[in-house]
Amino acid sequence: MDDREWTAEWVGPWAKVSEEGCTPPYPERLELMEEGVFDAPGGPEAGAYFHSGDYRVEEDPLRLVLQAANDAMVTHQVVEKTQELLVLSRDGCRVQYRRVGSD
Amino acid sequence: MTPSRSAPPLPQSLVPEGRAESTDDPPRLATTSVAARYAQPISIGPVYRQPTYRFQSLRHGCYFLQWRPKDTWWYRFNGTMRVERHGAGTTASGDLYHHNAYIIQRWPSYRFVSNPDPSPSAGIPIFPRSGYRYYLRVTGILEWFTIGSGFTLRFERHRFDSSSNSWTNEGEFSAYMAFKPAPSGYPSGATYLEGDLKDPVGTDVGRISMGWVSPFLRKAVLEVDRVSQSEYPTDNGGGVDWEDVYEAVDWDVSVYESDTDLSEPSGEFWSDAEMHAAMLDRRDSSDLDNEWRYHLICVRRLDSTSRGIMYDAYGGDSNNIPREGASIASHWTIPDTSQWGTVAGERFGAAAAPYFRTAVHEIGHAMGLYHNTADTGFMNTTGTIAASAGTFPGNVQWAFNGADQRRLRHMPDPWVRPGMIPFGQSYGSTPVSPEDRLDLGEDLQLSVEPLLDSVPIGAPVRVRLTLTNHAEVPLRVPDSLSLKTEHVRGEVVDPSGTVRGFQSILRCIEEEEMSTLEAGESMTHDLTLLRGAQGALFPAPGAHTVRVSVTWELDGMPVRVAGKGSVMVEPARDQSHASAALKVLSAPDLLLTLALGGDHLDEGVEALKAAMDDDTLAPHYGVIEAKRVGRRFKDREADPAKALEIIDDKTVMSPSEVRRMTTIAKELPAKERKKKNRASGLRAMKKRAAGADALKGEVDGLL
Repeated sequence: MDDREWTAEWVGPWAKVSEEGCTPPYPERLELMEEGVFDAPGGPEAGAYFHSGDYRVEEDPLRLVLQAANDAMVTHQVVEKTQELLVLSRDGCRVQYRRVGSD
Repeated sequence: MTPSRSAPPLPQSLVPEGRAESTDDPPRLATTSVAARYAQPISIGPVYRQPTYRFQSLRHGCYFLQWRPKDTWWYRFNGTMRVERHGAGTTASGDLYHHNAYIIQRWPSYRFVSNPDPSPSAGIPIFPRSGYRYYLRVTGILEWFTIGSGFTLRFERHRFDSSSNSWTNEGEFSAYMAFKPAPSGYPSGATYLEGDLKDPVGTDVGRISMGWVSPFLRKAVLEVDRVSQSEYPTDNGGGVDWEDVYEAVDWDVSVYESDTDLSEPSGEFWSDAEMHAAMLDRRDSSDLDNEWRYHLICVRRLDSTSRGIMYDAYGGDSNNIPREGASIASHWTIPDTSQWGTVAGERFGAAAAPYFRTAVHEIGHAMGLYHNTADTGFMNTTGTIAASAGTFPGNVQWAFNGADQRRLRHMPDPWVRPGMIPFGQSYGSTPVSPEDRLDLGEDLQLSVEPLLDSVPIGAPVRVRLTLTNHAEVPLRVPDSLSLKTEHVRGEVVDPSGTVRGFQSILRCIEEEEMSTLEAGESMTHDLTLLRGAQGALFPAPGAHTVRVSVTWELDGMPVRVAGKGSVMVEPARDQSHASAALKVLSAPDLLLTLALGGDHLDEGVEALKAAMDDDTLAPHYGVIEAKRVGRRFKDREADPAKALEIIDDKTVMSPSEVRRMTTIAKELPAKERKKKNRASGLRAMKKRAAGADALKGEVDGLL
């Protein structure tokens, strides 16, 4: 898969639907951008672990790597990924995002 | 006009009556100079002197602060007050640490000896972390200058709980601070003030003093150790060095290169644990109770990221002393793509500007700062700046964003100094002195009007906010006065003077809109207040003051409008009311049930039921329960009929709540709405909508 293919699938705003066992909490909204950076508005105010920074998608297995608040790159297993739904898991934490604009 | 060396004329009222040469002379202004008057024959009347005015102001910088509580000689509180003078006035904040006045000396015999205060001549004092007690959120201080002998200092005292790293606002204290000559030991010409400190109910609680010790606000040391292959990040290659970075935020930071020969424990890549161990092993000093020491390690590569990391956080903090150290990687290769501008393809350590920026960024994390994408300043991430407009790194802003500058200057000591509050806590959990803002009180008025003058204890308080433009021109204002925006927040002062803040538990994450408020126009919003972060907002009988402020930016200038109103909370009327009030006041989930509705918060729903079962509280909660049942929740269908049946003549509702109930009532067929007990609910809504013609008409249309 080249860069263009995966960006089309991932880029855009995602809104958190649920999370289980995640401390600190994940941001309410995650905006993945074409340039390989993301923004999570309000992250520091909510004490979230991810505010903004770099991200990358890895394949086999499918993983999403996000820059954390202290700049560590944190790897997430992608449990489910459709055009509308993104479910991530890491160390007993499971978080579900839905693409903003989808019903 | 011929220049004159005479003093300015005295005001007319100061011409002494005896000066008139004849009672027939018309009154006249005193136009002769004081010197000329003195030169006249001594037969003149009483001699009077021109009053001498001395303008006094607060000097920018750090003050040694001391509070000596009344009725004890055994301890006092020492700390610092940071006074920032800037274009919009003065912003200040302080921290206090417990100080035993005496300590036990064990040799040659057991005895108490005096425990001296820090010497003001030594500059900014550093205090042991274990003694930390209070943050002072300064709400009133001398903004510019005075010709009087002093000014009233006001601050909220926030007590620190080290077990939970949380704060409790103990209310507003005040002291009339009088300028006095500085005692010996202070720098020459130091500003010094003293006053009697009054607690929130006006009781004298001792003496407070503050004396200037430094033009800086905070003081720290940054030690840099590196492997031989990595560069020392000196500056940005364009004239900005460490000193410039920290002077701009009033920190006196001594940055120095120490070890240059760190050995690599497992090749060029370093894990967080290896860096933490190297810091403990190689740093020159570790006494965080005597100096604020941060540590930076420069290595070739990092396991957990490409450019840099503040590893002393979360699981990487193996000694549970947070935010002591950070690191940067010199041998990451910058991607060779256009996004990376003029440094594309370079080794990171060889690219002075981004390498130095990352070092400042990581130490920013160690100082308690999080990522900030408001501009391309130090706390934005390198990748985000590279992806921003302009050519990287020419598009870097070589400064901290304004909000981060304020945090570095005024966040409480435990937040910024190493070894106290762990990295990762929410900014919102910590008090910080309010920003000076342009007060638009002349042009914009914010009224805060409770719906009822008095409410029974346990009832929510409904207030209407009205923002009115009294200026002759339209003004840009927030689109909404809802608490869900970032712009609106408030506090309630209870009868004992305790202050409890409130802001929304739900934040609108969409970009906030602004709108234009035409001259003479108003906008309104209704709030229903029950709880804040510090618990119930109206927990005791007596008069409560509700203060609300709205803040936003107008053409880049921070502005603020504030208003307040009062409400009386009545005591419990009977045992049933007392029990129900206790239940609602002690149920945090009730706030969520009020805000979100639904059936999922058992404690909240149970408290709401207790309120509905009590005759005194039921009218105040009726519309909340009606909205809950009138909306669908998971498998439960919305029941607009039941919702309308809950509403009666006694139900307390704000116009906004009537509007929401109108939406629910519309779900019901007209025939169903007209049944007797539902029509009475609609008539009650119509009554509550009085004064809002459009709304009244809308309810009327449903009847």
